[in-house]
Amino acid sequence: MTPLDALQKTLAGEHAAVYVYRALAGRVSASAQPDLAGRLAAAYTLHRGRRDQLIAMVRVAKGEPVAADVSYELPNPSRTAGQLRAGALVSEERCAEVYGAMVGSTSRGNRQWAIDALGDAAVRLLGFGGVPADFPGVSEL
Amino acid sequence: MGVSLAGAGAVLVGCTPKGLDRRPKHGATASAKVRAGVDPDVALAATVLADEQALLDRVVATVDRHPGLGAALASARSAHQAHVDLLQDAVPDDVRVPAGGASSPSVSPSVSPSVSPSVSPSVAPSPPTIKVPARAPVALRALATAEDRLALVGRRSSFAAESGAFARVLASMAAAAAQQATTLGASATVGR
Repeated sequence: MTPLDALQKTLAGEHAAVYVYRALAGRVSASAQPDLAGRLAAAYTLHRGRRDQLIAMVRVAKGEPVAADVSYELPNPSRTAGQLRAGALVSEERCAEVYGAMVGSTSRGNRQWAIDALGDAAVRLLGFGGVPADFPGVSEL
Repeated sequence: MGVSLAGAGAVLVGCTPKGLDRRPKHGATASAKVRAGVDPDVALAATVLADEQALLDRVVATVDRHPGLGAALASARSAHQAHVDLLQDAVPDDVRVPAGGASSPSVSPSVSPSVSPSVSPSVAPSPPTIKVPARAPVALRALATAEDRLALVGRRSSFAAESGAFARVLASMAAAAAQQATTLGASATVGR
């Protein structure tokens, strides 16, 4: 995978994460689940920012940033608080996997970005019911 | 001489067939390689192995002192044992550095050419040197701090790695330490 391919794949993953978090954040009851609502809103803001960063990084690498799909499938019906939490967990785990791949295919500033994103995703997914793993973001280990 | 991650560390390279993106060798890196006679990534792996082993020893010492923390520390123990196992496959015995002797948080871990084959491959990591706080919550917090530090050093190691596949594994290990830091820190607060 070329460094530009890695950036594009990460951007594609970020488009999906933004869509999913926007949907999840729109379904949570802020009064009934203030903690979950706060975490979902924070994740949405963060991934939207990452998406914008990646668009800029792709342009610096002389690429045409991949566009978002019209819609994405949510990981589950996302009705109950448990489902919303599980959906966010799946989303964050997918992101961690993509960031890990990006670490392996980039260098310097872009690699640093991916290293930091992986570390953040690994901690963030704990807030959605995830548990510590031996090798977060590297599912084959 | 001629030590390479390719043989013993096949898992590191094999895990991402497409992810290999060796950065061009710079003058400094190339000369360091000549000086030390060791692949820079193998030297890096030896440093990380020493740090991971030191933290694993610390976890074990903490459980010895506070058996009640065994369940809370099972995940940390598993993670660092897995990291040590993987790195041991990648680092030849004559490149090993003693546990706890490495951990220099510099971006480019200096390869000490003086690492001699006479360094015994850390059989007994002298537990008396590990001070475990007498109160369990304090011991947990101390571990959380150590995990946090390992995560920081790990991120730097990942940045410095030449092999993309190895960088990915190191970044994952750093992320695992960050998870442990968060989890242990939360346990310490609850148990206070």
